[in-house]
Amino acid sequence: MVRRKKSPYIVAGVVSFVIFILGFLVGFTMLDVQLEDLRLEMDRNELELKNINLELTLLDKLGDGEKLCSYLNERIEYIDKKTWELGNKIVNPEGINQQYFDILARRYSVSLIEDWIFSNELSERCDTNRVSVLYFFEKNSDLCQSQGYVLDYLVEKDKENNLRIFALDKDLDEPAIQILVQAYDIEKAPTIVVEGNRFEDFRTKEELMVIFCAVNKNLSFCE
Amino acid sequence: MLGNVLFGALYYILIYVTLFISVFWFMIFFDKRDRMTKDPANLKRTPGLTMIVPAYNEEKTLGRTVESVLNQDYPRNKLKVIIVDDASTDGTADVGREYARKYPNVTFLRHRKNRRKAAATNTGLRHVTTELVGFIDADTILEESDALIRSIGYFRNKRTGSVIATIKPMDTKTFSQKLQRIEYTFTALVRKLLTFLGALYMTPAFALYRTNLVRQLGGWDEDNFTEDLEMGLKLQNSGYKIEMSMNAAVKTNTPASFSKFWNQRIRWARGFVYNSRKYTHMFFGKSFGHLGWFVLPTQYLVILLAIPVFIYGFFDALNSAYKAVVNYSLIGFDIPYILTHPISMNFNFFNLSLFLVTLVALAALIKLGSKQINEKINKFEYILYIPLYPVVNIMVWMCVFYHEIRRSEYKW
Repeated sequence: MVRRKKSPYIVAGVVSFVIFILGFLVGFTMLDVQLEDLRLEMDRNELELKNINLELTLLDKLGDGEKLCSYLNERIEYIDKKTWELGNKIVNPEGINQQYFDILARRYSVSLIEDWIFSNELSERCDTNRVSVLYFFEKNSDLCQSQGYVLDYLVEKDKENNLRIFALDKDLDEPAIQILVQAYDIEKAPTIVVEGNRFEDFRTKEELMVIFCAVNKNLSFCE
Repeated sequence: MLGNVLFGALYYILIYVTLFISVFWFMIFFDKRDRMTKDPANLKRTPGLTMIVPAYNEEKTLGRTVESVLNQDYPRNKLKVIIVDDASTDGTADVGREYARKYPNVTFLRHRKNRRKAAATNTGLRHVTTELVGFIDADTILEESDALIRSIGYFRNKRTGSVIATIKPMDTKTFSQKLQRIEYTFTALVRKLLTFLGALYMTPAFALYRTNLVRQLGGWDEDNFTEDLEMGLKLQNSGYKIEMSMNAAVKTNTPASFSKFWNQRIRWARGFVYNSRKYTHMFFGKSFGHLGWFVLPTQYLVILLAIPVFIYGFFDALNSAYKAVVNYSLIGFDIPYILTHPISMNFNFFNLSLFLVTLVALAALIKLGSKQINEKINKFEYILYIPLYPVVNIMVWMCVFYHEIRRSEYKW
């Protein structure tokens, strides 16, 4: 029996299609690994925030004020660092399911607001040097991206880790964010809120330093 | 948003098409691998052969070229050389005359006015009395002494109109020469694979022909600035095939500077466009098989897909770079901070993995080519030049389309 050779075009078409699909699968797998990592970190962060709430209640009942402040300060600093790192990892890569990403973003924002509440509580109870800044941004805004970069820079320049930025997407469909948006009357982005005062529009590094140093002169870059 | 969607669609189509072409070549290679370096047995009777050497201002290289022809293991009484000096302004004529004086089978002819390579080759053709005729560029040498004898066996097949050789770069010192080595290695493999499909359509640097056939076809087109390509298309158009011997290698001078390399590529690519117009009927022509339905159209398909993807990607990268610089300026270009906190581009894993698969396929084809022609390319060259080669090619074609749209004058 004569075996008829298949057209090289058909075979090449099928083989390249398989490779093409494999390329997609590799991409999906890499993305999935990245997301799984992020989800795990978020779980850990949420657990830490729950714990700190519990620790606060316990120390309120059992501990003395000085011990409480020193302990909480350490804990908040640790949580702050973790939340900050997490925030930097939450970017919106192409190819990810948008709904899934929105849930991740919402979970992160809730953690951030919780962190912000703890941070404020700490400032009220203890004599801390912390400056907590709420930063409202918009997605896909070059100006917000620049403002974020400058704020990141100042956080890094504050060696004592006393400057804390809580970056929130003002348009995110998350009730807790919308409460803050209404409370501070946020209409546009970028806007920062420091000690209840609202500063709209983009602020340069120098302008921000003046704003932050007016709240706390002990920030490293105020010297 | 629309730009992103369009870019995405074009990108995936381009990746698929290039992947398809690579797989296609792999398949042909594995199917015909036993025949890659196997030349047909010699003809029972060695035919007479005249090698034409058209030369213009090649005093430094002409002697080397002629020597490489005269030193061939080809019966001395069957081999002739015609040197045609195309009104050189250097000492080319003296070198040519000297060889004609020294060797009885060498003839020297001279144009009074410079009329370019095709005219010089035609002048030589008018003086040919042998069954076979060949030409070799005056800056090219036959690498081994059996190049001619290995090539002529292909003329056993009556439909073989021409035989070409593997082309290697003479020097690989400069950046552009190294880039060309990658290109020549790749094209050597692809050209040989094209012969198995009967779809090789160019006869560059060195080629042998049936003398009567070339005369019948009217010789080389003197108004064409890629006459070797035109001759190849003309042969295919007349139903003749072009074969290639991978063993019969020639070494040719390649432009050392990037600007000369660039100009040469522009000329070749514009020559392809010019000849595509001249032979439009070959595109999707029923009688042209693989050449008409696959080889010629995919040349344009790949480039027409690659150009918008490249432009979009380039401007996207430029925009990102601009934004990064703006942001860096906002922090007073604090270098230590910038180095530790660079603004990274938001890349896509799908795009990246598919792009890498395509580059690996290209690298594997080049590796196959290098093995076939015994050209050693080191790992560093693979990493640097393989991603660069398509980029340079796309830029050349962008420039060519710009010239074509503006209907700029053709430059030799």
